Amino acid sequence: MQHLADVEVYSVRTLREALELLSSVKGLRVIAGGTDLIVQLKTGVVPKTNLLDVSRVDELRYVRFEDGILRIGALTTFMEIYRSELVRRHAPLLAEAAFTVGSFQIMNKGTIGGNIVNASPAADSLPPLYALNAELKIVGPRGERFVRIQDFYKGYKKLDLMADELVAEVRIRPPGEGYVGHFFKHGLRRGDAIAVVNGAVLLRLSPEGIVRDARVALGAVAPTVVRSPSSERVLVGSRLSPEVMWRAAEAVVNDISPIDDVRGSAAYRRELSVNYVFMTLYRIARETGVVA
Amino acid sequence: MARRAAVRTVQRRARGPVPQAKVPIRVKINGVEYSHEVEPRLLLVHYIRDVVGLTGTHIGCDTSNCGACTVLMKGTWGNEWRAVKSCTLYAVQADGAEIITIEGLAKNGELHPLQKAFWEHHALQCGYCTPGMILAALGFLKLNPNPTREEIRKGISGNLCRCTGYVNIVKAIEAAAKEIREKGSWI
Amino acid sequence: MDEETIKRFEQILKAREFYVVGKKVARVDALDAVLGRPMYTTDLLTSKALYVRAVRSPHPHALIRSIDSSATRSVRGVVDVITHREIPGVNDAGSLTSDRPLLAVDRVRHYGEAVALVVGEDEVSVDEGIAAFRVEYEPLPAVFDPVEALKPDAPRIQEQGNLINHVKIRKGNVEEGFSASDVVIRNEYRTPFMDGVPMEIEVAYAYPEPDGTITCIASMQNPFDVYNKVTKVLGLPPEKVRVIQAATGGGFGPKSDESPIDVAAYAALAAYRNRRPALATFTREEAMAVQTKRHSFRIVNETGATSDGRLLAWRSTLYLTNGPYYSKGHLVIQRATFHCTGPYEVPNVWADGYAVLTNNTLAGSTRGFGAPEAHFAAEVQMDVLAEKLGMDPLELRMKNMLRPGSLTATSQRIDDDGLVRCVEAAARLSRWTERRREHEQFNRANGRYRRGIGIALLYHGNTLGPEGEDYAVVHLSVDERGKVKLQTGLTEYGTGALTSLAILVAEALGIDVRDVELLRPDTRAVRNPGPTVASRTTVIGGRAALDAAAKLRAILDPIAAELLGCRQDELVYRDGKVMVAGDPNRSISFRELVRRAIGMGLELKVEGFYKAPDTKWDKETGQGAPYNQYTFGALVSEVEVDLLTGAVRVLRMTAVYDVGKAINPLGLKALIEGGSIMGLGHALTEEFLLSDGVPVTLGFQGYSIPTSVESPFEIVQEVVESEGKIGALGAKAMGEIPVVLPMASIANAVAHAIGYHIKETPLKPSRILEALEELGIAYRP
Repeated sequence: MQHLADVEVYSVRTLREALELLSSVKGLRVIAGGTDLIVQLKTGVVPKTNLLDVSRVDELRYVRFEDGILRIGALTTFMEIYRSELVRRHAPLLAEAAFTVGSFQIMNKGTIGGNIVNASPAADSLPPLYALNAELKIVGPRGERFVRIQDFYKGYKKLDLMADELVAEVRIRPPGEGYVGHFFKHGLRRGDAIAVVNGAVLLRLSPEGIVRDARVALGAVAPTVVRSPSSERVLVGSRLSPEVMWRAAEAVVNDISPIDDVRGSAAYRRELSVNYVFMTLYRIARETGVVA
Repeated sequence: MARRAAVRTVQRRARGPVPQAKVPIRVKINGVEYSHEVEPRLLLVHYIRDVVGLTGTHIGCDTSNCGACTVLMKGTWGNEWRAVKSCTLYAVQADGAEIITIEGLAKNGELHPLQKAFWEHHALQCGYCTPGMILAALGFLKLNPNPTREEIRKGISGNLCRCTGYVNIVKAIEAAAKEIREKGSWI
Repeated sequence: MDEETIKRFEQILKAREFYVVGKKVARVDALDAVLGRPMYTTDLLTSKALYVRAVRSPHPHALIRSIDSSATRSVRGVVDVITHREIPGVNDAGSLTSDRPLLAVDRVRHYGEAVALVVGEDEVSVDEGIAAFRVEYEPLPAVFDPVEALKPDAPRIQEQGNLINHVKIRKGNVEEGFSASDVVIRNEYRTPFMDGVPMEIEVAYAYPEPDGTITCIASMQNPFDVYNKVTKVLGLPPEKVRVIQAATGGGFGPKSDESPIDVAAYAALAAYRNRRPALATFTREEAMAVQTKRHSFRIVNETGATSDGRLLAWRSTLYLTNGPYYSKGHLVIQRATFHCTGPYEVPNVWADGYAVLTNNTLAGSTRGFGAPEAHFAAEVQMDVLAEKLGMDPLELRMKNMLRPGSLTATSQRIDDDGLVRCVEAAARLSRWTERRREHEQFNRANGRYRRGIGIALLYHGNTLGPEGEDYAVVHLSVDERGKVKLQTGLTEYGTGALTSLAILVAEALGIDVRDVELLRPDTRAVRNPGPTVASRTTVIGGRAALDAAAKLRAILDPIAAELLGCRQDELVYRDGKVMVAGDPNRSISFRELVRRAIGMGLELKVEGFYKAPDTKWDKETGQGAPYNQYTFGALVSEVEVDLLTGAVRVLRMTAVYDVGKAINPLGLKALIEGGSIMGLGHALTEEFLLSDGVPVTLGFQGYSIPTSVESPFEIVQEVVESEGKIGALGAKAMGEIPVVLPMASIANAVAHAIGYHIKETPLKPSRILEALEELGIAYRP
């Protein structure tokens, strides 16, 4: 096994220490769960760089519901998110995604903040966060600021985050009554796999089965996770019939730009995106009794 | 201020690794306290194998996929016993944590229920994945003491085995879960 | 001891009830594994070792213009750089054929070929040293496709040309057979390169002994292959090299070929030149790049039959894509070609198997040795034929399968009814007819999923046959505690075969298996027993173990007979005692008997030997009897195909194998399960892809092997025992066999589900979706 080249690892216990170090030491990269970063360091995907270990900044590990907002500390692990009653109640989409990020060992160590900052277009937590219109709390020497998840990503692995800032919290305003949604993921195999395509669909349905609000988000099919306005437009105002579901599913191809890679061709990813969005819509329609 | 008081500038030399300043860590492994000075770049798996000398924790890849290096850990990423892959954390990140490796399972010459079940159910062939598999199973049973076979399969999906096809492994974990429940003690 | 005596001894054993053989016995080596005791090579490091790693070629084919190691030598921690010039002995690392240098001389022929070694105080220094190493290459035209490589103007990879073996079968008159056929079908089948992926990566640890001996501890299947090459590379006298096999975390073929020789030679060279212990290993990515892969195959099968389903003619053309060096490619094509018709009697057969060098990375032995690919092509072909004839695939198979008296493609006469019994059992256990009907009914509902059931049949020529000298050596000694020590150069790497040898010895000596201790294979302590490949250990090694046990009995019997006052042929060895037949009160414990023998100055140390009869066949026609016996089997798979995702899920497998004699039933069952899932991976996910010779699926993120959630809910098993001619107590080869059929069986089940035969593996979702699109099958609720 590859040993790592010499890097310094600075360990901190508080957010203040972390911010101080980020300001005073240049070129530090933040490490939390390390499930992606250490592998990337070993394989040279990420150039060797000194690290700021925040894995034990316990003040950033929490799930709270305050003022009508679900707040998840950036260092909360996917196991904690998956097991959290608050997440299951207010953002079940995210709980679903948390269960698929990888094996139990990955869930035990991988953090939601790490998943966000690692910025893989295939990150499993992101489509739910896009569908839930999540907001990030970013802290730095200039205080705190809030960014919508969609605005946080400026391009492939390009973030709205300064070198001296940290993502501290994920905020989700529960969409409210009448919303139903699901996460989906397709990997090369069923167990412990990186997504070839993933996504989330969240709908608000009227009692008559008319779609009042639609949010469709897809991962691994563009440089960043994307919402599909084309698909959402087809859905909103329509009754969730098989025909509408197919049209909505097929519309996602307008908003995605997949590439060919080892895990699958662009055409294959497009077809999977369509089929999975359809399946997820169909699942929602069945669960809500809109179709038999 | 950060625990490592002075922030040093790392001297980049022309070529060759510069010996790193070592950092003191304290880790409790299988109930025994260890204190060592380690280089920050040292991974936990190398610490366990090369520094502490517990070689039952194996290494099978460089990408955190195989799970052979799985250990149980408590005190980093929360205060519950959790299975983690020791190849994707630095030893310094385990400072102050508690760890259980395969060597810590048998007590007073008596095999742990999982060890016994793996042996009796022929749940291993080459044996290389076995320690990691057993620890992953234990971490999983801690979360889900009475699992279905399907849940067991998900519970160990981060551990690759090329010999057994997992059939006997799943049976062994099922049998061990029963014994652990009956004994009322998971470790 | 003469063959006659041994035969009698085995007959006596077989005639009575078994006490240990066929009983449920835990593996003799499993306890250490569950306790995590140090056993594997890197666990055994006793002192700080130097680290060695290779500088590897990024080109699939290039001339080496110049090498500059000056910057590497100035890297702190780097202590030595080794190129081909520094090799003290002969620069030869080819496992069978001396065509592969340990370190490239003036030319590299595949991506990842080693050019030099960097030795340093630790891994980080070595990696920096490698980064600083300069090699100037001049890329050469390269060839990656076997058909291209056979063209006259193709780049010549080795002097003698790219075709390294052409295997022929000429049986009957194939043209007449086709003319007489009512139906003729012709299809092309393709399988990709695959990787055996043993969980433990290649590793070797070498150290100089005070007397100058270089001892090398390593993970491998064949200590003597490694020993021979390391001795040659170091240029040392044979007695100055010693190779010991550490516990080995999986073999599957790659560890019988090239890479174990490489790591051992790297470590040995570093230890020898620097007079310090040295460790050589790979990263997983590096291992996957340079391990010998399962060959990629392209097989065209043309089959003729009467309208009632009698096979009349079969023509096969097989192209095996080899790496640039022989490794085992010339032998793999032989096995694939000999098995090209599947286990069916075809009166007229014409086959040409070509093994072709290319600039892809190394390929060689992988569990099954060409049989999985040949069976995939033959068994899907049988299903296509059945469809064409409107017959049930099982019925077509039963009509043509090898029965007692049948002649194989090589005109070898089959004596036993193993296959017939397997097929009948598989049909019964899987409820073939009902399940087929149920699945078809299920599919008529036009839901999101389609289900299917498929079958494939197997014959597998046993052990080496035409692939080499088929002999084995097993050493036994007994100490005063009555413990029997078994040592052999045959190795354990997960198969459980050495447990089978222990069982046979325990049976023959009437002792508990736990009283047989396995000692590590050590070239200094044992004679070369031939390689641990070809599922030989239980079959051939078992005979050698029985021979050794008989030799021990030859020493002990006279003493026991005298002590008990009976004739030697009245002695019964059982339950740790030696007693008089029919009078169990007249007995002596085995331990006491041993003590007496040792007290009399006798040395209880014997060497058991067995050599299988040489096999004969004609090179020009392929006709003859290339194997001494055949294993048979049948595998039924049931699958569910998701029309929206193209994902295939295996619901159930029914596996029946004719094992000759089940020596170690628990081990056998586990072996069948494990092999079935490995084969499931071959069928559904595994493909080692290269882009112009450069691997693109390295590591576990690129190359997808089954996880626990991929394995089917149920593997129903039954074992048939149709005694083999040569194996220990009638045992037949089983180690590799379970991996042979899943590709074919699952492919046939998928075809039943979707109504189309995909003729290329793996049956990955994208490929299934393409096929569904072609067929116009879609789920549209």
